[in-house]
Amino acid sequence: METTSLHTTGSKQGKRLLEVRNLETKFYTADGVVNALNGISYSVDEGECLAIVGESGSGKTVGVLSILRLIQSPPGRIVGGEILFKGTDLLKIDDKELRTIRGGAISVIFQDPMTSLNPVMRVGAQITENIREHENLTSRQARQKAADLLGMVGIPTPAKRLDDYPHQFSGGMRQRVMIAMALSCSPQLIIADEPTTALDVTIQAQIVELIKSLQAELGTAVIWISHDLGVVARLADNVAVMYAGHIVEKAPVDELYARPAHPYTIGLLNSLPRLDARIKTKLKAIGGLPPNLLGMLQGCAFAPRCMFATQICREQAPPAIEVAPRHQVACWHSELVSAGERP
Amino acid sequence: MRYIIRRLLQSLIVVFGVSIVAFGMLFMTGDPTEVILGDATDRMTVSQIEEFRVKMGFDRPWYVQYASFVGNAVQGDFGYSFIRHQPAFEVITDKLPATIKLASVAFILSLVISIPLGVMSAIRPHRPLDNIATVVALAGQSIPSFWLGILLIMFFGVYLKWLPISGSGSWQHYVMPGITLAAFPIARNMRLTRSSMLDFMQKDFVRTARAKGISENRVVYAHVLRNSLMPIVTSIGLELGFLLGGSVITETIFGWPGVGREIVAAIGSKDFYVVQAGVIMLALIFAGVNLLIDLTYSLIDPRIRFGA
Repeated sequence: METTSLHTTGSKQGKRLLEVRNLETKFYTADGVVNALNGISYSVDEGECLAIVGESGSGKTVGVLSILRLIQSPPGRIVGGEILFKGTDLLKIDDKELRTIRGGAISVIFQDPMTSLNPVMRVGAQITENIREHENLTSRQARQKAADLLGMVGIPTPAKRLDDYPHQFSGGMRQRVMIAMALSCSPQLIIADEPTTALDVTIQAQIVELIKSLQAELGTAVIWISHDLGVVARLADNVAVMYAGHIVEKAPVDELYARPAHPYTIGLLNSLPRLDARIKTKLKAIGGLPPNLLGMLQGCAFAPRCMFATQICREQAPPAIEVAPRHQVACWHSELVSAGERP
Repeated sequence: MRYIIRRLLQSLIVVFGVSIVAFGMLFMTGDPTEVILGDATDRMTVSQIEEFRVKMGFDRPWYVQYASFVGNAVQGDFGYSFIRHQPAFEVITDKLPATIKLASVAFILSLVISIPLGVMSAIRPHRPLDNIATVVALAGQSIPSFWLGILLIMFFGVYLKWLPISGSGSWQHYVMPGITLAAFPIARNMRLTRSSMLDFMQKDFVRTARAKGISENRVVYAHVLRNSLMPIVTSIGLELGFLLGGSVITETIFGWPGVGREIVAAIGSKDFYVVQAGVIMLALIFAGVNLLIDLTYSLIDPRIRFGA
């Protein structure tokens, strides 16, 4: 796959910024306990762009919202693991310390710009609110900064638009406002939770380019949640693939696209439409449905849909093993899978 | 601005409709001459009655009468009360200050209790405070005001002798009728505030606000409460209308010299002009309050202001 020219690998990466270890989040609902995250681990270095991919309900969003403890509680609760941000466990600090990190060192761009802004508050106020919480600026200075940020994300006549309400912006422009807000306090890590999903394709491309250029310019690390492997190829340094609350495969982006070692990753890649395929070729879907996360699963969560599955897959969950440098996969049959053999 | 003008025109239409009903009332009960004269017709000759009919203008076609009714009404002339021996309009306006004072007390009391309690319940749902508030709300909504009023009179007036049981004058006179009137609005607005707040707390933009690291207080008041206000404003607006119209039951129980009691008395004594004046007055108050609600909407929600 031709992706190497579109991003830089490794060179801009620096020290370890975020390390998530065995994170477990559950939702205690009336129907029972939903095991949304079943001990996921990953890390992000300074300046790195990590993409987390997976289908709806795989735990991508819960995984990143847990970092800032933003999941709705009740019913959600983080029941185990560590989230080390520059060495500090975000699960152990008190609310006041957490607030200095939220919107300061770590900020979030949410999925739906139509509902993620307060409809009855001017966008200027929504941006300056973030700035004044974390930086010691007068309201006039904060306003100036907000206008500069809106200009930076490509909103025309930014100073005037500060006094507008969200409904006076289009979807793409609202997402730019969200990005300006996320950038306002020079965060070290931006969590982008499917920031382009709710937008149409041309706007998507603009937003992806915008975040890419801002990341290159400011050197901010990004965790990019997506189910769009095309977008991920253009942005990410490393990719983590999630399935049913587990990270099933983790690798540098080129490695993952070139030598996928988990059957689910292969399924995802095969289901992408390709320009070089014949027009009549049908898209290959992964058969079956993702598992219900209510209650505990036995064995590998993907086994029921997997063509490689054997007895052991149904009985024991596979551990993550390293199949190549920085390429980890949780599959009993990864060698078979990466060799391209079919059972 | 166009929004305001549109609302103003709608209010005028409502008042026009009510004026027709109020005017029609006099004719729906039979011959207005006999209705107004009542038993006095027994002591009058036919020609005397006919003279009265002509004097009152009841012999004219109904649309001419309606035109003169409206023409007089806009000048504040609703006819003469033969029972109070003063203009009908004055009968109502004389009682209005007492009603407005009591309504204000009840209104403010309901606001300062219901909204903060509702907010507190919503911040910590299913905790002790919320549970207590739920029980109080249930009681406030289900106890009829005449019974609550009587209970208060028996306990604070008769047994403890802390408060006067009837009449108006000192601040003590406001306490029991104020509570009686406010009980229902307190209960309803508290529940409304709670449910509206809980609704908005689930919204995406509240999560955005939390992600900024601002304080929980700011999240609740600047983001959640402001958005939750729309249904609350509707409810408290309607209440203000009802309160200003005077409460028949509460005013009767506490001997409060207000509009509600006066209108009911006028109905009983067939004092028709007073009833008409009262009905029109209520319509004007309601129309005015509704206009106020609409203006408040546009202050709260910019999408209404900008016609989006």
